[in-house]
Amino acid sequence: MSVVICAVSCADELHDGVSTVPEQGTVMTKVINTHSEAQEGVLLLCLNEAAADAYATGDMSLVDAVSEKIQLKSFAPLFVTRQDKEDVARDHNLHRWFRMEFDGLDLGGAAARMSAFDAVAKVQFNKALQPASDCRFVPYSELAVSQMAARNLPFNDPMLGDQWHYINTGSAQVSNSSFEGGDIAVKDVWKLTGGDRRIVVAVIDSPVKYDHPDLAANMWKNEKEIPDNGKDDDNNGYVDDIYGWNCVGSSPQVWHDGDRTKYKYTNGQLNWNGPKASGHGTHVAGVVAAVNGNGTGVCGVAGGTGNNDGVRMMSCQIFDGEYSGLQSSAIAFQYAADNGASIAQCSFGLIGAAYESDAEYEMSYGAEHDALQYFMDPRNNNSEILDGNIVIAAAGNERNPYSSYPAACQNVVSVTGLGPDFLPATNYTNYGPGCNVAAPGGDFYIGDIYSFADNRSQVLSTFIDTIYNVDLKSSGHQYVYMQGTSMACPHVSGVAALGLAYAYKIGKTFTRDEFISLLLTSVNDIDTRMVDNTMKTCGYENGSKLPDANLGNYRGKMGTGAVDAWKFLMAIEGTPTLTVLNGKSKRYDISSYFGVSNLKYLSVEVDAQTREALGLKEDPEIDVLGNFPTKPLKLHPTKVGSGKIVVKAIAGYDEDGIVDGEVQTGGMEITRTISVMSRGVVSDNGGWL
Amino acid sequence: MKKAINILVTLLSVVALAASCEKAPAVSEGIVAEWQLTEMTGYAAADLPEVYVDFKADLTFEIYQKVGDVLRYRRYDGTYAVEGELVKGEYSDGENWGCTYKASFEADGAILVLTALETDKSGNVVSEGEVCKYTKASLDQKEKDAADVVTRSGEETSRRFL
Repeated sequence: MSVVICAVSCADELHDGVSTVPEQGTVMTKVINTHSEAQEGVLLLCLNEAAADAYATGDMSLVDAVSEKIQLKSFAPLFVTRQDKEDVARDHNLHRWFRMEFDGLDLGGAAARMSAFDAVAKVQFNKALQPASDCRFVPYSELAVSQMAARNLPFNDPMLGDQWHYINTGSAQVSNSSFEGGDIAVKDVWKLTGGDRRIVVAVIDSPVKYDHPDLAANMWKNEKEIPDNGKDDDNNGYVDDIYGWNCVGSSPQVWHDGDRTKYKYTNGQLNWNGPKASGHGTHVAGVVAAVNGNGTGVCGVAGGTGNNDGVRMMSCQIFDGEYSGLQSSAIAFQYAADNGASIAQCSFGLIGAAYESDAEYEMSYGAEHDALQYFMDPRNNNSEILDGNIVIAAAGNERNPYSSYPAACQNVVSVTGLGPDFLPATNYTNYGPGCNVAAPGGDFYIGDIYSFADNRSQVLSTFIDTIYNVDLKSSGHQYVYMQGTSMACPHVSGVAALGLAYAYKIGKTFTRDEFISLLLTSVNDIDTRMVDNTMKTCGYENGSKLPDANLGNYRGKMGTGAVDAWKFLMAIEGTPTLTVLNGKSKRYDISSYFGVSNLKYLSVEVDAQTREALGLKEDPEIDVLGNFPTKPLKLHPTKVGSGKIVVKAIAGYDEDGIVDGEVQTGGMEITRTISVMSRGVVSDNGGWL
Repeated sequence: MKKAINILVTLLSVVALAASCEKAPAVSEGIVAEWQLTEMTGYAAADLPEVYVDFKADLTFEIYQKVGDVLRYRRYDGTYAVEGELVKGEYSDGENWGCTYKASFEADGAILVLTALETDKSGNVVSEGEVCKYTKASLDQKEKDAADVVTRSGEETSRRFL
């Protein structure tokens, strides 16, 4: 059930960023990744500044020189940047990246020749991406008895009762180990909000079937573009982009009457009809925002309340069933940033890469990394609520004790997978450093594994009816079950979208970091039940039974906890001030700010104004070593007054990955500003008297 | 005449004294009402949190408080006891109030004054501390219905929709 990782050969040792090339035995420091799982006949190049600027003015001397060394088929900028975005794009080196296609050489040979050019700073192989799901699916059975009676459901969508990941009743119809309440706690949230049309979520994945009856109403549509007229009507750099863009294989084309320095993207129609189409992106999209309350199909986390108020989804296609190179995700991040997305939903990862630090990822996946940072640049902010866009990605399905990239990046939320038992889906989920939060992703092996028609322990969502099911030898399935951190991730994207929608509703704004801190601390405990030496199946691989997993090994490793939409919205409403006792040195419980999270506290800071207002003669202390887990904060005010303190913690960290106080491995820093009020009376439960 | 006037003044004084004594209610009776925090040692009125305390005749109490930048009130409840001018209480989650209070009244019982008392291990009062004043006022029922309910030590259970 898991995706096979291709081994990296000794000759292609990645970790030091150097690749040994067979031809001439030359060590090439410019080659930043390995060519295993990379697309033949394609290289991504990062030119130096001077060469990139020369190209932009129409100087084709580099292209001419390359043509003399390599049988060049095409050479064009990887990114097409609007004039109003040029400064931001330049700051993230997007203007330096180019894509070349060639014949007559293998990848190693081509890389060697390109490295010889002074103008070339980096050579990157177009390595394959993979969806964070095995893409096997179980069709929804109309004959299945819903786990819940039709009463008491918030919407009339007929399959909501089988979406245990939203409302888990602990039904044995789903699994004998179903855990009541093991869901994202969204049922009551839908009374407060179901979304907001102003919020756009970029689904960076295989294409979203935008005419699916349970998705169409919540698709983002580029209203300024006239479909299929071969023109870039809105002048955004993309021709005929209506519901998003197909980033696979499309590349900039010369546009302005032979002016070779002007490019637009063409041939970017979303296409889900390839022979190996997976339906993965359509399934993911349904979790984010399948239309709620339309009497059809399933529900989506931020699919609205039945009043055309769901969030909108932009399809940024990076898989076409045949291939996906990381150029696709790079282009996707730029498209999403430049066309209004405030959340990037990324259920994909890198094949075969085991990076130990963000620096390593940045070095080896330059094009995707640069575009990812471009998406999150505050100048590209597409939300009136936050000051920057956010990226939520799947932790990966290799059962590795670390998150895969790009999810493991410090400023990306990495999501691990739970089953309906509210325990780690040990048959696939990654865990450990870089993982930030858990969500339901399904678990095939705790459902009815003897029936491909009636296994309901995975995530139920929308699908593409033309895709053939090999187990049942049928197609025509518009709703199916799938599993993976791919399915867990859109739950968190949807919850984040609900948070933005609620913030709109109540008129609050946040910094991006504050918002993510609230999200990661609005969780439910899952660690208590991960008892050591309790074993859980890891399923099969290539027909062989894998050894069972010890749940104790996952304790504290799945992120801060299981995302809780209700707690998140309550946190967005606001958190009560911490009242502290004047004249006494005392320790305080701050779990209302940090939840039941697995965190390592890093620091507590107080400004001069608060120090004066509270009469703090000693510095406040935070329990860095974990000796006072229930009351980690120590304060000694000597005056009655109010102020704020800032507590920092790290989620998804690796003990060994903190060097000289700096995080090396993808743990996300969480910051909470806590309002403090000193008075003469304090009760242990926060009650006023 | 002078003697009569003196007697009259004395009688009037006694009447006045008697009247003033009658206007100061017993704590156990005067405290039964809904109160809103209006003054607190060390804080300006504009900086006060929103706190409503409802002392009921059956010796139970409810508190609705908004301390900080929050959208809805938090509700606490429990029982209280009056011993003379001393008031102490216990929350329904088993936690005691932060201290015992001395209760008194101003403005003919329209203002409740709770003075925090620091006691030693034997329960003897060693000092008086924070003074809070409350005036009679009721919190809107809609706000009460929307409040978060605190059930265990510091752990709130938001009033979820049925």
